[in-house]
Parts: sequence; C-alpha cells; structure tokens
Amino acid sequence: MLFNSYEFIFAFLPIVFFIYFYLLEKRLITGAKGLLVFASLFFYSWWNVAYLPIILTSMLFNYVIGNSLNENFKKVWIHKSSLLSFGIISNLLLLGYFKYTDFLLENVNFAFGSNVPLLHLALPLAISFFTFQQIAYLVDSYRGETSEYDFLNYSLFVTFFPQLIAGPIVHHKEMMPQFASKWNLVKNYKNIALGLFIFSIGLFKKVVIADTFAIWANSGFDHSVTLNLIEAWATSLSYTFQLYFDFSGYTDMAIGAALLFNIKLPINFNSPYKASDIQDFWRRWHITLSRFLKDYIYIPLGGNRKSSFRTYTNLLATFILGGIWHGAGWTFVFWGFLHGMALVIHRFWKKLGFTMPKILAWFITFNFINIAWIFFRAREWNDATKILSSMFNLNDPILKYFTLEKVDFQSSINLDTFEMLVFAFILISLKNSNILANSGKLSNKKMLYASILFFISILHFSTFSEFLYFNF
Amino acid sequence: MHKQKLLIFIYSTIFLFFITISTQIIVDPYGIFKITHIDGINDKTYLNKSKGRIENSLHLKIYDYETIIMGTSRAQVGIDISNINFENTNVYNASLSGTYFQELSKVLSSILDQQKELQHLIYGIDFYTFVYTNGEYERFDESLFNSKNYVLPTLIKKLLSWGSVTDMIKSIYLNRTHSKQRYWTSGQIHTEMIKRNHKKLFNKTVDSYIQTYSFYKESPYILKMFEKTMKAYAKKGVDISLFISPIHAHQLVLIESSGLLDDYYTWMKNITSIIHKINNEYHSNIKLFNFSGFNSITTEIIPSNAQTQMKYYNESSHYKMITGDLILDKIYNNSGVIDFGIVLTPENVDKHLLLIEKDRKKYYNDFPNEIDEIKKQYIKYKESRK
Repeated sequence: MLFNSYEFIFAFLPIVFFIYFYLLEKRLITGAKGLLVFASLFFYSWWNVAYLPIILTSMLFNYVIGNSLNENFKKVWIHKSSLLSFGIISNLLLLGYFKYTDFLLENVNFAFGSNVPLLHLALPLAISFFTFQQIAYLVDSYRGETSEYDFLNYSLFVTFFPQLIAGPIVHHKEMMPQFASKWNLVKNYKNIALGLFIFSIGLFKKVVIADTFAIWANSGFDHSVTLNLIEAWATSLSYTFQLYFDFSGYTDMAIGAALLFNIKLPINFNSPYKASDIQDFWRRWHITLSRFLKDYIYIPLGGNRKSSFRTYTNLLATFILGGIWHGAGWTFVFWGFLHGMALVIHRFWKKLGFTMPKILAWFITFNFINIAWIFFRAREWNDATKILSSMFNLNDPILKYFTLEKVDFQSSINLDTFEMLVFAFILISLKNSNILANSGKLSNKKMLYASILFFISILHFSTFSEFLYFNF
Repeated sequence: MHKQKLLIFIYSTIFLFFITISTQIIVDPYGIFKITHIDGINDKTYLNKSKGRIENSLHLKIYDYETIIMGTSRAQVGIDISNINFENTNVYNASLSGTYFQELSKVLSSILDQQKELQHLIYGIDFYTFVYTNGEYERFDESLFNSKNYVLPTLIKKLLSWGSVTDMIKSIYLNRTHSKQRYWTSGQIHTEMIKRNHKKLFNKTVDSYIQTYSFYKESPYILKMFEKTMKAYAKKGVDISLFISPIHAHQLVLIESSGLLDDYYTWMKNITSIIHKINNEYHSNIKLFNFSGFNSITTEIIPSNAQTQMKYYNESSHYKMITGDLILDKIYNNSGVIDFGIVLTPENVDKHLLLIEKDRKKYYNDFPNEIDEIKKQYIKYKESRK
C-alpha cells in the first residue's frame, strides 16, 4: 500500500488510528500493539503476500538470536561472538540471496565466460531496511546495549508500518522506549496536528514535485536519442530533485503517520542540497543510513583512530558498501566510490587547512552530487555516459541559440521543466519540513496551508507512482 | 487548543473538497452532469479526456438511449445528433476518435449490455480499423466501458484531479470568450464553425494516412470479431444500419498508392458477405450502405485558395455534417443524392465494385495533377522514412 493512495489515506490510516486508540481507551494495551503489528503486516502484504513469510521468519530468527546474545540471558551453549557472526551472516545471506545473486552470477559469467542462468528473483520489499535494522539490534545485543524486550514490542519495532518500507532506519534504542512508554498510549492532539502537518508537506513533495520531475527524468534517461546539452542538464537536475523530493517526501509522510500514534521517528533529511561540502551533505542526506554506516561499518573498521591512510581506506570501503546496499550493480558501486573519494579529498583538503568561498563550495558540492546521481540512476553505463557526454558537449550547436523556444527537444523536456527547476531551487533554499514543524508554534495559519497542500496533493492522485527507495 | 488546529485542518480540507466537487458539477467542463445552465459559464462543452472515452462511458452508463451512433472520429464529427431524422428518438453519438475495431468491439459489447432501451445502431465502418493492433491504441481500460471499473471511483477520479480543476477554469474562460474551438454535444464533436485551409489540410491528411495504411494487413481475426459483435446485436433485435464512410476520393487514391485497393475491395466484399450471413441466420434486416467511391459527393473539388470553404469535407478523411445528413437521409428515407449511398448485397457487390473502378479511372483522367501530387507526396514520405 502506498502512502500516496486513496486506500491508505482514506481507509487504512484512519481505521487503524481509531481502532488503536479505542483499544487503548479500553486499556487493551497488548491488543492495541497487536493491532499495530497486524496492520503493519497487512500494509506490507498489500504489495505481495508471498513476502510475508520472509519478514516473519527474519523477525523471529533475529529476536531469538538477539535475546540469546543479551548479557542477561545466560543459557547460551556457544560462544557469543560465534552466535553474533552466525546472526549477521544469516541476515546478509538472506539479503544477498535476493539482492545480489544475479549480480554475482553475471560477473562470474563475464569473468569465466560461463553461462550460468540468472535466477531473476524479485526483491522482497523493504528487505534492505529491515535487515540492516535487525543487524544493528544483534550487534547492540552482543554489546549488551539492549534490554529484554517481549516479542510483541520487538515485532512492532521491526514492522511499524510508517517506517517499514523505506525507513528511516530506526534504532531499537530510540523506538523500544517509545513503544513501552505509558505517556504514548493516550491520544495526543498536538502530535496528531503536527503529524498531519508533516504528512501533508511530505505528500505534496512526493505527488506534486517529485512525480512531476519524474516525467522529465525518466524521459531523459530512457530516451534512446542523444540529448542536447540543455536537455542533459535538465534531465540530471530533474532526477536530483526527483530523488530528494521523493525520498524526503516519503520520510515526512512516515514521520507524520508515526506521530499520529505518538511515535517520533528520527529525521532523515536536513536540507541536504544546502550542503557546502560532501561531509556536510552526508550529515544531511539519509541521516539514519549514514548513522548506521558510521556505527556499524566505519567505526568497527577502525574509523579515524588509526593512520590517515587507514582512515581514507575505511571511508572509501564504507561508501562502496553503502553503494552496494543501494543496488546490485557496478553503477551503484561507482556511485559509492565517487562519494567515498570525495570524502577522502575533502578530509585531505581540510587537513591542509584550505578554504574557499561558501557559495563556490556549495556550487561544487551540489554539482558533484548532481553528477554522481547520474550513475545512481542509470540502468547501464551507457545511459550514464550518454547523459554525461551531452552535459559537457561544448560543441553542441544548441549553444548558439539564445532562447529556449528555438530549441528542438527530443525528450519530453520543455519550458515547464525549467520553470519547475527554478521553483525547486527556491524550495531547497527555504526552511525544510522539520524546521517548519518544530520552530515556533503550530499556528492556525500553518494548519490551513497544510490542508491546502494536502488537498492539492489529493488532486494529483490520478496516477499512482511508487517511491524510488522501494527499489533499494 | 491543538484540537482546534486539528479541526481547522479537517474542516478546511472538507471545505476544499466540497467546493471543488460542487463547482465541477455545476460548471460541468466535460458535459457529464447537465444539472444547470449558466450563461457564459457552461454554455458549451469544449473539453474531454481520453478522447471522450470517460465521458462517453459515463453517459452510456447513466442514461438510456434508443439510437446509438458508432464509428470513428469520422462519424463523431459528421453525424449530427440534431438531424431531423432523430427528432423523436433519444440519440447519442458514441463514436471514438483514434480507435480501431478491437476497441470498438469492446465498446459495442459494453453498450449492448448497458443500454436496455436500445433500438437502432447506426455504425460508420472504416477500412483501416479492421486491422489487428495488439490493443496498443486502446484507451479502454480507463473508462466505464471496462466492466471492472465502477461509476463512483471513476467519477471521483474525474472530479478530484488537478487536470479537471484546470480544465474547469479553462472551460469557463472558453465559454466567457465564446471560443470558436470545437465543442461536444452528446458525444458529437462540432467543428463546423472553424474556417479551414482545405488544401493544406488535405496534404497533411495524406501524410498521416500513409502511416495508417502502411501497417494495414487483412485480419480474419478482426472480421470474425466483427461478425460476432454484429450477431450479438442482431440476436437482441437491435436494428442495425451500417455504412462505409464517405471518404473523399483522395483517400481512395492514397489507398491505391499504398497498394491496398484490392484489399479495400476484398474487405467490402467480406463485410457484405458477413452481413448477408447474419441476416439469414437471425432473420434480421441489417443494411450495409457504401458511401465511398468516386461519386458526386466524394469527388468534391478541393479549393486552391485558403479562403474558400468546402461544402462536404474538412479534409479527405472527415466529412462535414451536411454529408452526414445525406447519409442519414439515405438510411432513413432512401432519399438524398442518387449516386451517394448504395445498399450492398452479395448480388450487387461485384457489379458495384466494377463501377467504382470505372469511376476511378475517369477521376484519374479528369484530375491528373491532383493524382500526381498525392503519388509524389506518397513517394517523398516513404523515402523520408527509409
């Protein structure tokens, strides 16, 4: 079920909300939590019920291993580090089987000239997210940083529908206490109003802005004809904005929907395109993934505690793994490598004590991110090189034109694209949804604006589109 | 205090939905509801969606009609629902533009299921629609012609969409400015008030139909589908009047240039034979008229200047309502122009085709320059596509 669908907004969400608080009013706390788990699994199964056993098995397995690793649990007959390794490897094998088998086979076939048939497995929805979330839980259980949770609370932590499909990647430390808190079991009008406010902004970002850019981005990337210089830039910028408004819109909706149930999800985006260096960007973009990569990959690898060379290697390795996490393909690996290299260069630059004007720093950072997204979006190397070569083709005859009206566009890019790009640049320079929701009081005027955004978004529902991060 | 903010959100959203739906129903930019008429606001229906499929399917789901006109954009533009022959009957022009028989057959089946008072089907058939298309040109799924779609969700999608809101504003603007753009009434497109440069339009039509005819291939499957559809109507006792559209002689020249003249004649013979078979089987009286060929209407002279307006044609594919009136006169009263509209039977079809061939040769002799121009245009187009 998509957040941007009639069935979610007008049926699923209100029904679950009212039954949940009705059960809580009747002091049926376990029943209410059970309802949330059931509703979340129903929400998950809406796409394909065949994936339900996978998430259920994964949940049960990790709960048992996690509890066995917990230091309060003494009756473990094998060494804890072996148990942790077993847990992590099992999770990675599950993820690897569905996500990376074909990628591996393709490369084996290429390297050895063999012809092993591909499996063409469908990727179970959200597997990358719930696997990472549970690996973190296992590691923390091993470190003795988890408490003994009951299976219902654990299930809620993994399946809670607002964050289940595409994050934010939540940490048990920030979720479990919220599920256990008695203060959260009472209907809270402030949270409901705030939740609707953030949800409306997210919905608008997705269905009005991201889906509009999607038309131009898809048309440019999927177009067989070579693009001219202007089209190529419009295509790459369209994808850059589509991805941000799509994913941050999804996160806003997730945060908003969770707030209706008094659950505060961590913020995932903090105006990333305002970043003035690449390190700053990763503090603002997909924050919960960056947190995971830092805590569970970069730091265990040694972080910056060893030599400079080792720090650079760790950074590069972390981001290459981050790239692979997003998708099984060399373009994703290269995208991770580009970001890793950028972070290494940035660190080196800072070490040398160099500085540059802020506007120039922003310009370089934004353009680097924009160019790197091309590899992230491209299905094949050729798609990426096609766009890049057109973007930097200074011999393009188009340069002699002075007005857009004279340009013969091969893709669906038109004057509206450029108006929308200007609008997007203005939007990213303004306060983000998180700041809007948390700065000052939630005024009547803000609620009125939110209702207008919500209404306009509903009018854009005629064609549903999935979120980009559902593919990862 | 926060409850108040919540209520502001809820009430303002409900208000926005209410105001949008009610103004959509009142302004009625697609002519679905016809609840009220406000001068300068909704005098005419200028807009439609999915080339009229959603509107047509809604109309045919909600209202009952005794006479249905069916066909392609030719019948949609040319058959006038206010024709005197329809004076005492409730008529709807359900023709679709940009269509092929695969879609039309589904629509015809849907109409037969839904229209309980249907007595008469007038169907303008076109040679090029009898081709197998893989369904790629259909917009069937969006509409209520698809039995899986329901009225309320379809209406909600129609009313609560950004496109409908902008269309509503556009429709008010067009009505206030008394636009000369084409408009719709009961499925029919009115284009008569538009002044045209016919010469230019004829040339343009040649280009688009070279493409259309280039993928024509006789399809026994489509002919079977046609037979099945007509049988279903005959079985239900619906009167059927079929007519082969009066395409301008230039279209026949193009068909000949595309190497499809024999296919055209074969198609005509096949249709005649199917109708004869159905009439025998169901004791029905389906009449098949042919208005195409090189008769006094279809050979109308194309003005060389941009100002002179043609009497019978917009361009070689679409005929004007006056031509449509002649078709209806022939169907209803067997009156009108003598050489325009011949009832085809297995007995006279060969003779009739020989006559067309004779007329064609005469036309080629009388208008060598025009024929030459079409053939050159055909060759040029084909070479440009190599």
